[in-house]
Amino acid sequence: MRELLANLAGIALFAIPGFALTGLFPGLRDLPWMRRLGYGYLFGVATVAGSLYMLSALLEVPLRRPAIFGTAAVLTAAGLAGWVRARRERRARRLRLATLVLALAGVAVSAGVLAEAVAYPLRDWDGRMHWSAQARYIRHEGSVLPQAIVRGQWFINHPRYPVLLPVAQVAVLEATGAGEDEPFFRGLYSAFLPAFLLVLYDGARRWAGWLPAGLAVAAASGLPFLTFFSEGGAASSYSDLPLACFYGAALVLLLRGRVFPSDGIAAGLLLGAAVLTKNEGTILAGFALLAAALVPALRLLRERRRRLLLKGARLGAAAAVLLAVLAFFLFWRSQVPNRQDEMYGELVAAGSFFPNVLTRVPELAGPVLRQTFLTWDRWVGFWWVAALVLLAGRGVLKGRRAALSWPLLLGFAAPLAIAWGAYAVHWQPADLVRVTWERFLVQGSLPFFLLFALLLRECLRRSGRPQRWLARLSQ
Amino acid sequence: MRSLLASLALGLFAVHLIVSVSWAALTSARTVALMVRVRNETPFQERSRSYSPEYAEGIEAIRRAIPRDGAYILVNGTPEDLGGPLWVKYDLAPRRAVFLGDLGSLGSIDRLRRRMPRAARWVVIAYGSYGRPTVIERYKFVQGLKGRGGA
Repeated sequence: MRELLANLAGIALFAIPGFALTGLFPGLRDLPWMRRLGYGYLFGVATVAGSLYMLSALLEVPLRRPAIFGTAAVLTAAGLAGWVRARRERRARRLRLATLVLALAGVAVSAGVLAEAVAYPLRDWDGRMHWSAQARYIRHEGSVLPQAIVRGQWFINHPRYPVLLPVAQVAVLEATGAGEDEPFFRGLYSAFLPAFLLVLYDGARRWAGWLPAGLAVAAASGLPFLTFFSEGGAASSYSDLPLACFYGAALVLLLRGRVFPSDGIAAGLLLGAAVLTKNEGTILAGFALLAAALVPALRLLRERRRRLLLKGARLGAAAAVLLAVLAFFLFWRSQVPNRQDEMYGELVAAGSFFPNVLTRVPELAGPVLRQTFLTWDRWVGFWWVAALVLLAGRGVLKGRRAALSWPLLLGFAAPLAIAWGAYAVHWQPADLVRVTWERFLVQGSLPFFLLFALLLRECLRRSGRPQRWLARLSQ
Repeated sequence: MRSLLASLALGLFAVHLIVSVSWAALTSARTVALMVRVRNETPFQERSRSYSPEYAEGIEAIRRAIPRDGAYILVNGTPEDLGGPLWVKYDLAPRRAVFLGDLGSLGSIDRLRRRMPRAARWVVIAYGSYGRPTVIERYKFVQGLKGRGGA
């Protein structure tokens, strides 16, 4: 019971300030509270852990209870001030039976993932090799620059990886007074699953309607790799699902048709969190801005000048926040000597990137396709279904929806392009494909599921009957 | 033709949804039941159940021997298992480690001595498949290697 309560308290440490902070952004303030909670949790992790990361690195503030509770309290108060200032009109929304059933599926799976976190110690590979080991060193010294990391002689895998999630772990462990073998931070990771589902529902509901949105959420909540899989799912302490959430949620905010320039700041905060979550987060953040710039570019001749300016302001705000976070990350990283890392930058600079990107296609296409389509225990054949739905609903890539569906498709393809780039320069690419390809699929999964909802909508429209049949459920 | 393809895609998706969501719900129910069943376990019992009793006991013994701000030399006793040293390093953190590789390929005694930082007074040997990790004082470890005619 104590473990369960401590895990829930760890989630609340981020969910409460984050939910309050959504009150500062008009684009999020008007959302129904459940959908808002998804963004709120992500904001909570981004701002509480991000602030602690910066306070420790820049001002040497110890990562102990006063700093942790103080930061959470200040952020909550700032958010509540935004709530009080803005009075909003509430529209009564009818809860459909089918939505309720699909929501219950998401809740049931999320509860199971949380139970996994409570019933087992950490059992995954990367979590113990890197993320949670870093958290232990950071917690011991109360600093994001502990001796074990900044002195080159000590054995640390990937010492220059950003440590937002380890800092979040430390915040939970300190706040709950966890002992050495009490991994109460695991709830923090499991809560990324409902956050993912809620953000997915929000974006898909907005762009595809309630039925495709509900079906996409149900599909995502049934996938082992996103949920219970111990090497990358919400039940692990890998950083891929958190990265997918930050990146995907930022993309939703940047692609929204209703333009609030303040959404750009919110998206910038989430992209900043992506930068501080994993190395590839920096590239994905740049890609998200590019994808968002594609929408006004595609509609350049059709959209009104004022609307284009608003979209430009939203993009500019996101880029400004992102650049500030990136500068901080480079400052932190400059104090950490590199060792036990692949050093991809040097491998790319060595010059083998360009021929290998093409010449390795015959060697790697097989392993990539196998990992995607023949991993029944992890994807339950989802990618076969997705390919067929893509073929049947390809109409969304043309016409009115193209300005939305193409950026989403590119958003999904971005992590896969990064993966392919890594495989092009790695000395054992086939091994790397085996252990990383599906995690890159996870990183791009939020834009993919949003596109999937659009494709389902198109399929439902074309087939006619299922839509009418399912519509009865909504009565 | 397009509507037929759309119907086929939706049909296949419905089958996929039934299978995957049922699996997820079942796994979820099983895990919640397990959580209730093991609710009174101590962290040590939980670790013994998940890893192995030998591994959990070995880690406890090493934690008693090396202080939390201490340092140690880490060696892999099972070369074919790359995970062993990583799990031990995680469980012993925040104690700092210097990893010297596989037990069977440490090189000459002189080279080994040069690679061992002074701050590290213990040698921890990790084994695969959650075998019991062992700790030995540094000079005894080196003496042992000498006695066997070098590393």
